[in-house]
Amino acid sequence: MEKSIEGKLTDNQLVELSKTDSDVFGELVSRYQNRLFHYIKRISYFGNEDIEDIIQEIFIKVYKNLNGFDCDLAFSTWIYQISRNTTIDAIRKKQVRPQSVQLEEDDSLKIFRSNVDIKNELEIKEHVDEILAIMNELPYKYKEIMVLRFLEEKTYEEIMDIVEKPKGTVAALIARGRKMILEKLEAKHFLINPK
Amino acid sequence: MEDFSKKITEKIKEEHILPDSKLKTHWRNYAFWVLFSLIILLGALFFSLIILNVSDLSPEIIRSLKLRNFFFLFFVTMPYLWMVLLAVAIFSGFMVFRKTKRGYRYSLLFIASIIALSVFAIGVLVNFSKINSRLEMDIPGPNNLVRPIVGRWQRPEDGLLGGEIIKIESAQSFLLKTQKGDNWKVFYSADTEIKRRVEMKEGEMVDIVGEKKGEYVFGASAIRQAPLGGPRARGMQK
Repeated sequence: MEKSIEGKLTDNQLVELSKTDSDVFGELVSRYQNRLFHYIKRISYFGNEDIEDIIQEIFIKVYKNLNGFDCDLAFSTWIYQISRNTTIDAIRKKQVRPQSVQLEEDDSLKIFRSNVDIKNELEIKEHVDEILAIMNELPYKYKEIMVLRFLEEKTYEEIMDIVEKPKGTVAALIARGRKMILEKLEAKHFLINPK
Repeated sequence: MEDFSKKITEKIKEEHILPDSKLKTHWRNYAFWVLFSLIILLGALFFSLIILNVSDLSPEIIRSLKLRNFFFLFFVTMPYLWMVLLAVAIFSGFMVFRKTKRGYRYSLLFIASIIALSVFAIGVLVNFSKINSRLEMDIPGPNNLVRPIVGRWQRPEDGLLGGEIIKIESAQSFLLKTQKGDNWKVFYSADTEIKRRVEMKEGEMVDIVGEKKGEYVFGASAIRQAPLGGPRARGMQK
């Protein structure tokens, strides 16, 4: 099939065609590899080479499990679910606590701005290091959900399917994560308004 | 970042990787559903055994016993084994349901309610079918754990005595053989509440509420026929 035609097909159509033609699967790889790269970088401490290995492992898993995909989930949600599980397995194999996962500065500030309304923007610039420290002190389970909600911009339903937890638990994790950020900011005497 | 699409499709071709069959990708989910169904059935059986044990204390028995005695007997002879196993079944059912393909989507309350409703509904059906009373005697284990009803009617000090009428001695007394093998002389009078189905004849299995009057002597205030095919009746024949 020609590349230009493949580009116009939906994910689900590509999944169906990939079952009989592995070349079509390449289009799905092209569509998702960058998104998954950033996602894995955000939820793990791995370097680029390790992440690329994980991505290859993910796509091979996805290909093998194409018959297990059903339209109950969006393909993007399904591939994020597999990516998360594969990444967590990789973290476990390396025997490093996920707590040590550090978000990049831009990502931390994006999550921060999504949750907190700082009265004076200058305050953010003056206290970047403290804000980064607060964000990185968040326990992994909150950080992971925050990444999906505010950086990957997933809905609550999508997050529920990716992390395989009930929607109420997802909402509670986001609310508790936000509360933790606010409490730490208040302790440091920031002038804030919760969003 | 380099484009992996070519690298991955080449790997798929070189290593002759094929998508797994539907059965292979879904077997785990099917296995969890089968396990879940088995747990529900087991839970229903445990629940039906609880019903069997608790319903033995019918309103007529409750009326004949003093309230304090009733509560004492109720708590001492509760089917604790089946209650614990039912709790284990509900908990395992919850864990297995969560492992099914979309089980994570549902809250603890929702899953627990579904399991409890299924277990209770099927358990009531099992009780109506009398499968539970037939099964109870075949389950190995000590009576006080597996068949608390049996022990419940071997408590003359607490006002409950059960067994087989082996001899009609007079119009107001008979000899009763208990499951333990003791022979008791039972007296009754015009004030004794004798349930309709009871026939005062040898071989009749009866449950008696009353008072211990002396060594192997018992005064009856109420007599009922032991539930047919019940564990006591069958236990006597063993």
